[in-house]
Amino acid sequence: MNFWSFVDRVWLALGSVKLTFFIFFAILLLSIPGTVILQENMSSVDPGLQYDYDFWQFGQWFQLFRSYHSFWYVSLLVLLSVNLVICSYERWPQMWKLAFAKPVALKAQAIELKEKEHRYHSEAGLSQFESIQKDFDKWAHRKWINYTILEEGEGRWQAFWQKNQLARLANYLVHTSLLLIFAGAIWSGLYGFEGTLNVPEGAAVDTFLMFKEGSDAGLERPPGNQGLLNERMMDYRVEASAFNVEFYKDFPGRPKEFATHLNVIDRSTGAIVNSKTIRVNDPLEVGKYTFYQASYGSLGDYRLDLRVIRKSSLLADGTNSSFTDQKYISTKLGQVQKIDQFKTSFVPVKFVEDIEGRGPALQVQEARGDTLVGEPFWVLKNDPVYDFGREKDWAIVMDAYKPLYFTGLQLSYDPGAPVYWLGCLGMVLGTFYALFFQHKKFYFIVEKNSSQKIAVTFTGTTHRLPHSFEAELKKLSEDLSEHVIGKKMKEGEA
Amino acid sequence: MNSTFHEWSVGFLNYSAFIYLASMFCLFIGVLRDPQKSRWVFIGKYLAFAALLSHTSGLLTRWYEGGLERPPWTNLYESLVFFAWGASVLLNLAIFKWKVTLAGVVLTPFIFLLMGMSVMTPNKVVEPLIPALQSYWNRIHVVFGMLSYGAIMSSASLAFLHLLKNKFSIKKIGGMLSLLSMMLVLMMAGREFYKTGRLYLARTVEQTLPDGSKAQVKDQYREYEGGPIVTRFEEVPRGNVPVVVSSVLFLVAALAYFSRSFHKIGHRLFAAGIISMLAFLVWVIWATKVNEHLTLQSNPYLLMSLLTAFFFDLFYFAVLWKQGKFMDSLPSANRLDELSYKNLLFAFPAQTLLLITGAIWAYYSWGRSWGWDPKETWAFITYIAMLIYLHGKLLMKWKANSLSILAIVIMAIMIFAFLGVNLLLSGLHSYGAA
Repeated sequence: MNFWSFVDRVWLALGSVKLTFFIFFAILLLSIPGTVILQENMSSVDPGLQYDYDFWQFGQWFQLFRSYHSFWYVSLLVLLSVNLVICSYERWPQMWKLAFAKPVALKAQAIELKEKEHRYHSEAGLSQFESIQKDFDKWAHRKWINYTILEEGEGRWQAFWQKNQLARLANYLVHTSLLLIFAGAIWSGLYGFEGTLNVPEGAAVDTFLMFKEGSDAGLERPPGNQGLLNERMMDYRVEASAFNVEFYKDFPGRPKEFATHLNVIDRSTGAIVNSKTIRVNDPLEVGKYTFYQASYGSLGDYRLDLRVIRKSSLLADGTNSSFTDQKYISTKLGQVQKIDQFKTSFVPVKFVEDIEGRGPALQVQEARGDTLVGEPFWVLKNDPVYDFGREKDWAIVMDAYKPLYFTGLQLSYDPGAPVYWLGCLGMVLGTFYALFFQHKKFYFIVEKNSSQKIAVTFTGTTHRLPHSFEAELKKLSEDLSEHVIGKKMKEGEA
Repeated sequence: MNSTFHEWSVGFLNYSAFIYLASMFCLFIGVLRDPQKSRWVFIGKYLAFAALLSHTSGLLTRWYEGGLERPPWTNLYESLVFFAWGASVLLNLAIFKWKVTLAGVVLTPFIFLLMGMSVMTPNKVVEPLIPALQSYWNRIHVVFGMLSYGAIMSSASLAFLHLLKNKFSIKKIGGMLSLLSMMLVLMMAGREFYKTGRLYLARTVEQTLPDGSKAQVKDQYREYEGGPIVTRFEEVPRGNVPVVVSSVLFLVAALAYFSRSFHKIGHRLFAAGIISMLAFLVWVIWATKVNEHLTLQSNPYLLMSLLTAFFFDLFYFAVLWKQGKFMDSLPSANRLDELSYKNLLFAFPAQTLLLITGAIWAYYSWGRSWGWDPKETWAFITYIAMLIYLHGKLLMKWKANSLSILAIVIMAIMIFAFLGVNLLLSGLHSYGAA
């Protein structure tokens, strides 16, 4: 066997329909393990901890823990693309011919043999030979049918028209679109990246945790290789200047909406490049980065609006805001507060949303420098004078508090997206066109009989869904009977 | 929340489930007597229509209750109802437009399966949407799911009738049914069965719903805020025995049916499998009576799935008994084949759009269009199976019988993609968790 005949054989094998079905079945079966076995990029659990060592080693070898990016799965998709391209190339001339070949006049015998059950027939007097042709022309004109005459003279007249020729080629749109989707996905896979970052309310960060890195991402690890292994520097510093979560009234803990006001700051100049309040389903695009609102979580900390008051300075009207000597502070848990006018320091150590049904409560302890001293005491929001019982000349009142959150952002760069979305569009249009539009051919034949009569025959073919086509053909024959022949056409043989 | 509307909607939907059941029984009895003349078939036919009316009213009142912005297909309860509705529309089309009344015998058990599951779902409160679900793409996405899965069910049912009519070996049909029954039993055994080899059911806990009513629900908690949901389980002592016995019997029955020399004992083995499946059900019901931590309500799908498999298998024996008359009342094999194909032809673009709209939604919500989440992947597997069907039909001109078998396989895959993934695998589509 010489080289070229070998190439030919490989070419034929790669373009064979048998291979197509083999690939289909293989994709179907090989998609399953990834839905059962833990996948690295989808879970925070390390497969190494989940499975015993032998299975883990086996899984590593066969890339079971990243099934859909494994060598075997990707090769299947590549093979499918190659198979698709060769198949399409080989079939193109045939398909083109089926769609655009010059129609051939049907011979009487051929109709008998091929289209027996879809054939409508009638007879008329010889005088009608011309008038039927004219009436047909009028009828076709009214129906927007653009027919061609295949046969004229020698006592035979044959008109032909067709619909949806392109339906024969629509599968090329579908298959090209599939290749576009693959191309877009490969482009995104090679050059795009995905990651996640949590930004505490009011703070800014400039790194994120990457879980899919493309070769061209070009993002560096934090200086001095600090931080986690998959931590990367962004081109920007991202500040969550405000975060707000709203809950449904009747459904505690069920968020209605959460939104972050993001400022994206240029790291080198310090200028704000873009800012926007992002919500779930409403991201922000800056350069090649897109920031998505994904989640949120409690920081376990609170913004506390406190007031330190001198107990003796209570005014006569007795309302708890009427103190002559008081100091407002806004703080968080764990921050030492030095109050010079009362010669003391204290630390808010713990906050409880509800203490024994008495509402929000803050535990506070006095401090000397960095060490806590004395007994901790409670300040209740709903009972402002509760702390007055302590043997000090000052007391603490809690005016307001707000839980602090971090906002969970998702970050991605997806350069192939326009390509695969275009592919999806083509896929949908092509699928509809290929499946719901049939290439239909119609033949209308008027023929002089020997017995001083003419025979009128109407027939048609379709490449798909013969039963529905039969109904259409029947309707058309009734229409033709009424408007063209003036006599009912019968189904079947002459 | 308008509680009157809520009661009306739940009422309509629950009634429709029982009307479907009644319709199924009438059609069954009709088949046993005389599928062409029996009055039972006539009653069953119109009951199916009545059920669709009640079903539609239930959906509409629920939509009105939740407001225009919240269409009634956003959690598992609602998607069960909505997907069953799609199948029911196709059922009524099959009966009244395509004149295949007997499609009802095959389709009603499946619609009853979905609707019965919805009746047994403890929490039917119209819950407002979390932000990720407040997207137009989500609404469109689910509609395509309903269209596709409904059409797949209808296609498989017609394919099943086509196989009967086209003189496909009734023994092999029995074999396929045994395999399907086995699949259902194994699916219902649950994830814990495969980890430990024993049968566990979710523990029950009483929960006060937001509307103040009480319900028996699964005992579940989150390990940490935003973490995965963990279910507490309770063992059904020796519950693994009927699971193993019935699956083995179904498997052996299928093998016997498919074999050349043993197919005669297939019927007996199949019947034994059905009996052991019922024993499994009785065993579980007994366990819920003995163990106060177990109720059927907290395992809503078990009863329904096993019952449906039972009804369907019963139908097989009915056909076996009245084969001749049953065949006579069916339209021609070609017609059934084309109807089955048309339904799949409708399902295919719907499935394409299901995948694409899901990808668009994911792209806007999470910044990624395709993530190989188990639910996504199984929808993709269903799509590939449909690709095989279409290429087999259009390119290879496979025989009608092979295509009909494939249509039934597609439905089996679809049932797994729709329910099995939520019951056995875990993933992002956990809004669908029971």
